[in-house]
Amino acid sequence: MATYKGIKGFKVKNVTASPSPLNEGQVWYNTTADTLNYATVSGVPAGTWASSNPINRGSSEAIGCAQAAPMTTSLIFGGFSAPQYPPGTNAGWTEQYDGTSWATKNNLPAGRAYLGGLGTSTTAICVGGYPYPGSASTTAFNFDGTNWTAGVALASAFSGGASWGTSTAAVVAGGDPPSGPTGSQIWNGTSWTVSGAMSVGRTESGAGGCGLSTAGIITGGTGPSTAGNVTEFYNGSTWSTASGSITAPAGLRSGFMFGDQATAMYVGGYIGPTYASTNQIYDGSAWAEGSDIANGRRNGGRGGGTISGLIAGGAPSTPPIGTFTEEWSAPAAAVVKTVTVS
Amino acid sequence: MANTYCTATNTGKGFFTHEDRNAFYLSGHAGDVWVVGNNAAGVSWINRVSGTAKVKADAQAIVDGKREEEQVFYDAQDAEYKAAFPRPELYILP
Repeated sequence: MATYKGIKGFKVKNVTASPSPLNEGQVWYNTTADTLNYATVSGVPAGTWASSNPINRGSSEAIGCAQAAPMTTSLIFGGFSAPQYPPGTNAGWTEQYDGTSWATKNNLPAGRAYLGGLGTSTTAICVGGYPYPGSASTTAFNFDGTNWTAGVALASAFSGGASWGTSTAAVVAGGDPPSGPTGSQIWNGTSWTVSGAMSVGRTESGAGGCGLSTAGIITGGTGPSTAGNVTEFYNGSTWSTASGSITAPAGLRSGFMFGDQATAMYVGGYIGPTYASTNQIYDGSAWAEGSDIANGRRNGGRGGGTISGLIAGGAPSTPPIGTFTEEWSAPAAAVVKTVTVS
Repeated sequence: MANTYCTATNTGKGFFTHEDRNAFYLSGHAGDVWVVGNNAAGVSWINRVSGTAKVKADAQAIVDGKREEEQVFYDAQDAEYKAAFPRPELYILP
């Protein structure tokens, strides 16, 4: 029989009162109440964005990230670099956040932009993307916290789409042909398999997907049409239209997405002719306006979730906006839940 | 008047805080231009970050100038670049 320690690597702590502050996913045993508890997100998180220290590489966009990394260990890599992304300057640069500042890490073996990113800062996977000029690729690289090495190739070339999940269970979806704009692929830790098609083609979907490999959520993309505003859920093999659509007059795309099917955020993006600063928050059925980012942008890196997250880099190319980091905090969103067995 | 305008250099952590974002409107633009909610907290923030106050027309001119620089760069690129990126356009500050 599987045990919690066997799965997570540590035991559930015995405590006399609920911990404070709560962290999403935290589990403990309350010896006073004699209950097994966990912290989860309930309802729309009420939070704000604050500035943090900039990335080192200069203004950059079309960045990949370790999508499952917590905010305080965010990892971003690849993308076009400043000034204003002259052709041929996309790079393999990698940087890791420590909660305060970004540190430079070893570069990807080959520079690429519009790539997918998965895993954490010590188990990251870079998938697809393309060199400029060039075309979408199936290439993958694995990161162990120090070095990048060759990974398992995608089933189909991928670029400019959404990606989410861990190093052992992940999804890429949408983007440019041939994988996109409706296509998706699923990763089981060993190999990539072509999966179901979305009902809406989503080019320029960027970081517009999140969740689990068997419970994903995606929205945005396909500008300037508003077709991509609808929300879709993924169950590990097929896609279905979910309730609620993000609000954008001309198709919001290339934004930053956080969370899961129950609570998600779609931040920033592009609505020609402006870079969006909006923050739309999903409660499992509808999208509502949340607290905006200060610097509207698209196609940057992201880390963390709906309680604690960040965005970094991205267009506009005008320095120094493309270097800025903003941190999201919604500490009041975590609530205590009790495990019942009846 | 709902907003006031300034230029200020984003110094990173602490430049604007969660408390600031709850206290006044704030949006950043090209050329280190910041649109700030015109209340006591917003004015205090401009002083804290050593911002230089601007009238809206001057702030708009700075942003337009930066965007026009981007347009010049964009127009000089090849077709493949233009297919990959949208042309920067001017917009009106809030």
